[in-house]
Amino acid sequence: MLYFLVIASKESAVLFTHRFNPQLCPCHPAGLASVIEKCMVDSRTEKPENFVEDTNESRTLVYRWFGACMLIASADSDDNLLQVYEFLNLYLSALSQYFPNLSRHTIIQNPAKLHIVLEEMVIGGVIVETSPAHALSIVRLLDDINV
Amino acid sequence: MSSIKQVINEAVEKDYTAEQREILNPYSKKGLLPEQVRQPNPIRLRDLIRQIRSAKTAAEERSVVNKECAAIRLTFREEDSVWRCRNVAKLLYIHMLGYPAHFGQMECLKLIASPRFTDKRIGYLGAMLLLDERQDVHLLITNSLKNDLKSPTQFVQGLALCTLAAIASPEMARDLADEVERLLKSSNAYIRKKAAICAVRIMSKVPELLEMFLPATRNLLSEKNHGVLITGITLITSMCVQSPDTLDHFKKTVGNLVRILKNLVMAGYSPEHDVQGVSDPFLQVKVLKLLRILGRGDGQASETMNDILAQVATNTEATKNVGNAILYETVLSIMDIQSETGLRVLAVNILGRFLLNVDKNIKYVALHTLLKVVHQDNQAVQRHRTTILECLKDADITIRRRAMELCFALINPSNVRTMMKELISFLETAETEFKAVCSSKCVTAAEQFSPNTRWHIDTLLKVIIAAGNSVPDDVVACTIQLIAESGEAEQQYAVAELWQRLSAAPLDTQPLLQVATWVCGEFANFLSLVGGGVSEGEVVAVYQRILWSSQCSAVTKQYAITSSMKLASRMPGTNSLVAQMVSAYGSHLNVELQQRGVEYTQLFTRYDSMRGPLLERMPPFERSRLRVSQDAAAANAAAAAAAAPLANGLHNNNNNDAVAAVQAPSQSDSNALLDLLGGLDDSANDVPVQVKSAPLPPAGTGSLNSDILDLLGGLGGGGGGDSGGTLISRTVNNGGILDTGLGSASNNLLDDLLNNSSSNLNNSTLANNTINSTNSLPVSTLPSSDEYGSLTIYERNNLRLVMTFQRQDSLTTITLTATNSSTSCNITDFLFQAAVPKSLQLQLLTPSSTSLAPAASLTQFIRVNNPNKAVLRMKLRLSWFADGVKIEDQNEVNNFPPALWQY
Repeated sequence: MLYFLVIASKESAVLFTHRFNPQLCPCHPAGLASVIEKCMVDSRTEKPENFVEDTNESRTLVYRWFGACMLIASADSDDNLLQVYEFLNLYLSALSQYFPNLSRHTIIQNPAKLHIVLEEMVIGGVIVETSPAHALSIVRLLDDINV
Repeated sequence: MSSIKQVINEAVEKDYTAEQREILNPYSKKGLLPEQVRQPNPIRLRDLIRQIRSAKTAAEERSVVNKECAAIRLTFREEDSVWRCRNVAKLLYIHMLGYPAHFGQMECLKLIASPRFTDKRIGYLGAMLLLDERQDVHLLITNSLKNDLKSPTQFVQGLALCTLAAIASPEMARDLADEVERLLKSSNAYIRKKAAICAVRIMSKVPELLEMFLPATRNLLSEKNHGVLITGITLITSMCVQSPDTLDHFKKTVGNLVRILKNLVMAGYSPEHDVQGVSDPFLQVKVLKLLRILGRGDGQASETMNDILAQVATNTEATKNVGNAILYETVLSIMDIQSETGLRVLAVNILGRFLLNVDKNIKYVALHTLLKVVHQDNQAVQRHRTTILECLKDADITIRRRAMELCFALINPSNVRTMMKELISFLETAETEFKAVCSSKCVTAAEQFSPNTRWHIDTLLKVIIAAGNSVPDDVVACTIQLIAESGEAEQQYAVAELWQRLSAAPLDTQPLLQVATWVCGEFANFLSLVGGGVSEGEVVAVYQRILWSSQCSAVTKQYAITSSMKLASRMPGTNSLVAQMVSAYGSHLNVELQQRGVEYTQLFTRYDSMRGPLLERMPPFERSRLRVSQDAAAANAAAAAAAAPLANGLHNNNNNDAVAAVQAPSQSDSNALLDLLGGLDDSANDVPVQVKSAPLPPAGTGSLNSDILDLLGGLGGGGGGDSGGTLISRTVNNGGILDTGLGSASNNLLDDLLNNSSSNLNNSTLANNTINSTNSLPVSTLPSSDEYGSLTIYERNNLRLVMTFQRQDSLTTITLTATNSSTSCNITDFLFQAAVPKSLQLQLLTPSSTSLAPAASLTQFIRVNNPNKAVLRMKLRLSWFADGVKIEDQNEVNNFPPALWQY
């Protein structure tokens, strides 16, 4: 199960956060900052793996760099971490299909859209849609409803 | 004078009015109109984001956020529905950064109730992120959800399902389960998918609703839509995990699952679900996970999946991350179900390939998996031992940690030599954070698998050398114990080895010096046999180096100074030099060292004759020192045990000339000795017991006995046993039980050098003390325990400790009842230790048992003597094995009923 997803900039600033299970996630700026810091420190080591143990021992942070942004997901340590790592890529490819020129700026300016796209793919921490095309077709449909 | 006052007044007034003017009209300067202040349009999200992001410090960011939150609150209060959507969106952004935004919950509900879809969408998004189970707004949202689940628009239904899946509370789950079940059978795949994930959440909140979803669930497996399949399988998985009955029910679906997986593996390229050339890896992983649960412990089901698992394992490409994600899941499934041997070999080989992978992620996962399967199939994992050992040298610290854990799991009697060699060389270069845990584990493994004592000693020494100062105290104690227990040849060997180290060792590695000084002192007689013999001058030079070094810790110096005393008694030629060293320590700044210095100087001067017997070689220690001190509660037995070693030392001397040299002190002093041992100042009837219990020859007993005790107690003129600075009373105060709660082994060891079994002695002293004082007043006449009530002092880790009290004058008897509050866990080796402030005396009696079945209890009596009516406090240390897992804990009790020590 996934607990939260964070997008951070190279400068460790929070660009986007989504908590799949509000009760089980850090809910203050310092908690987020420590999560990001951990991954940043780890990513600077020589040839690191993309998994960092979370403060909560049963969870592992999985991070992945995409350009100047880092995606971080927190998952159960017993989950298939390689799959979580792959999911980060899936989400980002969905975003880049949705926004023609995906950049840091787009991520900052459209938090609601990011939430909505993510919500089509993950509900309550469980992956429910594995095809970005399917997920986006729904999001686009919803966008057109303006009643 | 008055003019000055006037000037000041005028100036103040002028300033004030200027200030006032600014307060009244702050906007005149900034070019804003007053009307805008009262009713400004809320800023756009975009602008808020810009403001927050341009903040340079965290404090600045906080102030921007606080200001905006205040503004949002204001508009909320004004019930301004025009800006509600914008405000909630801003609030979500603020919440996303981690700031509290729960005051927006009601506004979210209002948006949800709005007929506009855009409002609904933001409202549900807000509800999902801002609401949590504890909020009482739940009642309101349940209503809205119920309406929207019945909505004719699939997207509104979708939104409601999505929100329910994220935030459902048990009450919500009960209220809305019917609706969800209905939607699970919907003709729309989009709705079915979301309803399935809703059902997962509802079941996890209210397990008894599982039955209700069962019929609709089976149909989900015949879906074509991957989204519905993946959520359907998730639903089945959580059902199977929750209830064994359902697990049996779904055994029938193994065939379907195998078919789904086969289609995925065999299917050609499908652009929709393709990830790097693999067809829907996420679904494959889900199916494999469910197969694992269904096949566990079921031969028939396992049989059905063998083929497909083999197919997945061989056909999946391992060059990409996705492929490896599937392979990883396959390996776990193969290891978990009752698969064929060939398949298991295949699985472990895949892990072997993973280990060699350049991708660190895969290496990490492989080690993690091997750690999981090593207990199921040790033999298979053994095949990759060399690769795992290779990982110890990996550049990445996490990989090294995993590899280390795995290595310890792989050690067995046949490979212990090679494994230990590798681990020790790992230990040498490892980070400090590894050293402590690695050395402890090495010691455990060596103890478990050592082929012979020589090797065992060798290994422990190597560990201590490799780990340097990071060695935990217990490793030092273990090594010393091992050498003390071993045969003479091994001891001789150890002395030779350690002497070599000692003479060349750098002075900044304390644990090695501690072991080396202890051994070289204790077995100094072997020093002459080391490589052509070591001269007395050399030995003393080494000790001097340690004792005068500023790099050595106080503990090391304590070891060294006691060791030098032993040395002096084994190598008479060093006497004068050692005496010199020791006396210099009489003025050392460290109290502990100073005390040793003074005491040992006394041994050289006034009581030189006693030095030999006192510094006799130690008998091998009991295995578990701490437990010994507890078991020794039976007072007379303990007294005998404590007296025996001393007496033996004397007995030997008796046969030599030493007796002649002993100057018999006045007979009256002999009582002082007994006083020390028994605390029986004038109860003459106890004296015979003591004398009888000590196996001394009748002749000369009195004088010798008293002399030793006199010496130990420093009771020159027959002073009271309580006079300060005495050896025994010091150990009573400092040695474990009373003060430091059985302090570190190293401290106890030092005491042992003189006392042979200090804890026994301590205990017996106390025991006799308390027994003596209780003699006149039998326990049975004590007031009932109700008077003081009971006190729960500890309730954690499935263990509850309750104390009840009885009191007679200064003596309190505490009845400790330990209860195992778990339903399944067996507690063994339960050990309760306690310490009270110095002015109090404490005695722990033997517990009624040391093991606890589930829900069972044991009792242990504790006696506390509190003559000064001091405030009763107690420090506790507990340790036990819960189903074989060691648990340790500490606690402090400060809330004893005051009636226990007052009046």
